[in-house]
Amino acid sequence: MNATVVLFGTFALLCLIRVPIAVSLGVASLIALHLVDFTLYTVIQKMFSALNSATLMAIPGFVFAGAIMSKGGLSNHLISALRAWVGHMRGGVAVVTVLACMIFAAISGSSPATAAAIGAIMIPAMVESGYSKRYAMGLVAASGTLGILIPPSIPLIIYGSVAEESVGKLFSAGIIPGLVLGGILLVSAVIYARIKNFGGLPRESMQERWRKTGKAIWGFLLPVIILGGIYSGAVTPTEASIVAGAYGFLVSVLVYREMTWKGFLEVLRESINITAMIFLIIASATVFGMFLTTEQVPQDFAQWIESSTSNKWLFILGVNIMFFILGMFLESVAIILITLPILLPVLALFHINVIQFAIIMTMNMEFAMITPPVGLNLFVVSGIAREKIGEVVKGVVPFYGLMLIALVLVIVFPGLSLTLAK
Amino acid sequence: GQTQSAGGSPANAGGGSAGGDIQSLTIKISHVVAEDTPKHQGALAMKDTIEKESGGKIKVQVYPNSQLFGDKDEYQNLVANNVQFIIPDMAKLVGNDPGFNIPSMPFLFDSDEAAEAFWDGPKGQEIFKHLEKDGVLGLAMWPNGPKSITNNVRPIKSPEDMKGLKFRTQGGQVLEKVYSTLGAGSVSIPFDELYTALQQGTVDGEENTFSNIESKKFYEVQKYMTITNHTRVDYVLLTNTKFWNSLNDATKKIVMDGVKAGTQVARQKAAELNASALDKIKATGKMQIYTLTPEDVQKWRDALKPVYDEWTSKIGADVIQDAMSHNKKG
Amino acid sequence: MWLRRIGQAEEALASIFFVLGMLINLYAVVMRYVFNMPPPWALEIFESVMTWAVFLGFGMALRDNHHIVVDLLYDRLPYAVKRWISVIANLIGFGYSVFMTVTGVQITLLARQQGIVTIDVGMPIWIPYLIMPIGMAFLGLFFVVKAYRALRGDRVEILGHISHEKQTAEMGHGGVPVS
Ligand code: NA
Ligand code: NA
Repeated sequence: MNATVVLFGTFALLCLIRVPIAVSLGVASLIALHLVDFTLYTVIQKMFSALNSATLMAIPGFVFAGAIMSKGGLSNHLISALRAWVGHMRGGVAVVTVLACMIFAAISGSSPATAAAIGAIMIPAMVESGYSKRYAMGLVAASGTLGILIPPSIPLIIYGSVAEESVGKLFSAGIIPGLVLGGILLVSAVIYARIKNFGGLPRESMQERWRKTGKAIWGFLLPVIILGGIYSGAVTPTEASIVAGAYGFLVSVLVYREMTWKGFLEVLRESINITAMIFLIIASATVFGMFLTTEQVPQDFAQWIESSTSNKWLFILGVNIMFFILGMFLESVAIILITLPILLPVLALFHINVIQFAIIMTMNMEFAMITPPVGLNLFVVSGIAREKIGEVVKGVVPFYGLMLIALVLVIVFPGLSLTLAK
Repeated sequence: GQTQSAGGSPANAGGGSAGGDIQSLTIKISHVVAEDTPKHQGALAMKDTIEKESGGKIKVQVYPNSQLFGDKDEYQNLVANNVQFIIPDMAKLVGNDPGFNIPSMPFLFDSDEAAEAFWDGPKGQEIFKHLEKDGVLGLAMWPNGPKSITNNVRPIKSPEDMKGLKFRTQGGQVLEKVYSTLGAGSVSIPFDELYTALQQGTVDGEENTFSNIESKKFYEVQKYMTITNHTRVDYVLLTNTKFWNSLNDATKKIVMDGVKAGTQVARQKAAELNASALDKIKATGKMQIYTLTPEDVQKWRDALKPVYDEWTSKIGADVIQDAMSHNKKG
Repeated sequence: MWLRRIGQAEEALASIFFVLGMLINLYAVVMRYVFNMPPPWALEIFESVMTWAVFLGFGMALRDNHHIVVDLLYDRLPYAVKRWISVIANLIGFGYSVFMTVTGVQITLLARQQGIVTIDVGMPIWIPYLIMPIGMAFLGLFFVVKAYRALRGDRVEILGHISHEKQTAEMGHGGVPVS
């Protein structure tokens, strides 16, 4: 337990003196591991193995696709077409952002990939349409979390394999809650835009709209290609990210002719920088999680909660708080693998449906994506929007409340998750 | 009854300190699969036996699901003694010694018992010994079982039916050769993405043991299964010399008892689980199932001869010969 | 000048690996989907090459001030304190990188001595592992340069937020001379 205190203490101290978060996680973990007699030379290999994973590689793919679209003209044409159609409506562009995240979530099983793909276009689009950047970043970070709730979903696949549940059923169970959360985000976007007077650009003529749409047609084809590519079975989600990048490159060079060699190198540099920043944090967080696992901290936490109450609602409350706290520091996949085996056996005692619990857990993992200090969507948005992490956090905090509403609805009304999972 | 020789190699390798008192220590066992698997049941049996026999002086912590170490980093952490036992898939060890390709050699063993007898025997133990230069001791083979083929395109009976189909395999050069010899493609797809890839048709099929097909629910997204038993998934229980040599005789005996108990449970549960998984798959009625007849199997063997032509010398003709000798005669 | 060259070399290498990784992936898609002949080596090489790009990116991202920091407390401190904290923080980063470089060499040599090869391609595994010490050494280099700049009282280094907005203080990109 002492080493755990050292772990969190060192981490907090290092963060406060402005050591990069990734290094703070790494140094704190090394010190704590040393205290429990762990042989440290294998740690670097753990970091290497954590990153050497094809599933994670969808992140650089979509970051690159987003960067090349914004440098190569695709984004500009898309944005001006979008503004022509919905820019005059209060909240119009924000609504498009949420819808785009929902559609993208239906093909990608990853939240950071969703935030990267949509954010690169929609954050500038919102800013250009008069929304505050802070709000735009928060909306993308939060809506991006739908990536793991609306099927397909990597956390639900992992839940299925740990809980021996049908992945098909789990996927179906995520649909309505995904629509509910998406709906809440949509309504909030409209209300907020009315209050803040976001949007409200001059209405453009139909000719102008179609003209701009025509110019943006190559951009509008991209989602068709990605969706079609995955649903026709041509590509996996990771491959789709790279196909998207290649498509963006070809359109920029051959159609819009806005891509210079220098511009291309800048796109590469930016993509590598953002990916490296996110991946160093993922690698370090993996080591941080490994320490907690060897010391059985999450395991003890979970056991303590299930042994300290016999009330179903207190149990659910405790578990949600635990997920929130673990989610601040750990990756969603790690949390599921470590805590689920301990929680599963008691679900029956509390009469909690295993499939409903999968959705509750997944929605908690959505929080984990946007809670500091370790929240992948925060980092993705910070990277693509070139903004300080503190600004992104300020933007995202109001969305905790909205997501909490959706979570409570899913907890209180089992039908939301179970109706389609029959 | 197959486990007598399981302790052969460490007993020779470990000097150990003599003495009667059981040492107080904590042992970590790490593996990469779920809890209701034979592997985890075997690990739990080790835990129970060791903790009970040591009167609680030895504590055993079991970490399933890659919680602690994954496929790619468990071996070096074993070498570093950050974990005392791991139970990797032999297919992940082919980079350490080509002998671990044995489970991927097509139609080599006709039963779990034959495979177990091979690994308990001198040739199998010799392959384990090759890890000793790294400070790693191979203790026992733990089976998962024979693999079958599922796909979404057509019922597969003869080797020709495989032509032009794309299968996801675990990877490895022998499996690649098996599939290319049959005119099929083998694709590496991350296990997390496999369910979706099968559903959306990125690949046509995959190969796995019944227990994996059932627990990963691949039958939900596959139309046909052929019970081929063409290759196997087998694990090996490994420990490290640093840990092993630090044990005195009394402690070593208790740990060895745990290894034996775990091996017995893992082997028994593997057979049970595969049988019950097949029943469950059949009960869902979601896949059309065909079992290769002995005549079919002969055709497959003939078709796959090039795999043996290439790999017999790499693995060792004597090893292959010995492996075959454990099958039922006739 | 030398620093700039090193930075450019790192960036060029990382860019080549990044593009190569994407090309391999595209090739695999085309071979599998169009020609029905999936190359079995593609995934392993793709993962390796992208991981190389990422490890080289650690140093690049530091040079371009992309790594995420918390400046909640730092922003409120007087300049003189900022300077020393900046030196210390960068030295901690340097120490961390040195540790990772040394252990990276250690594990690479160990894997080489063990003779382990990769599963699909059969390439000696120490080759992909080499990127661990190399990437971490680049990271360490840029940490020590930043520490040195803060020590010398470089205002851009001390006051410039580590964030993504400012592209002015880029090391090796014509920012502040070092030598
Ligand atoms: Na999704
Ligand atoms: Na978090």
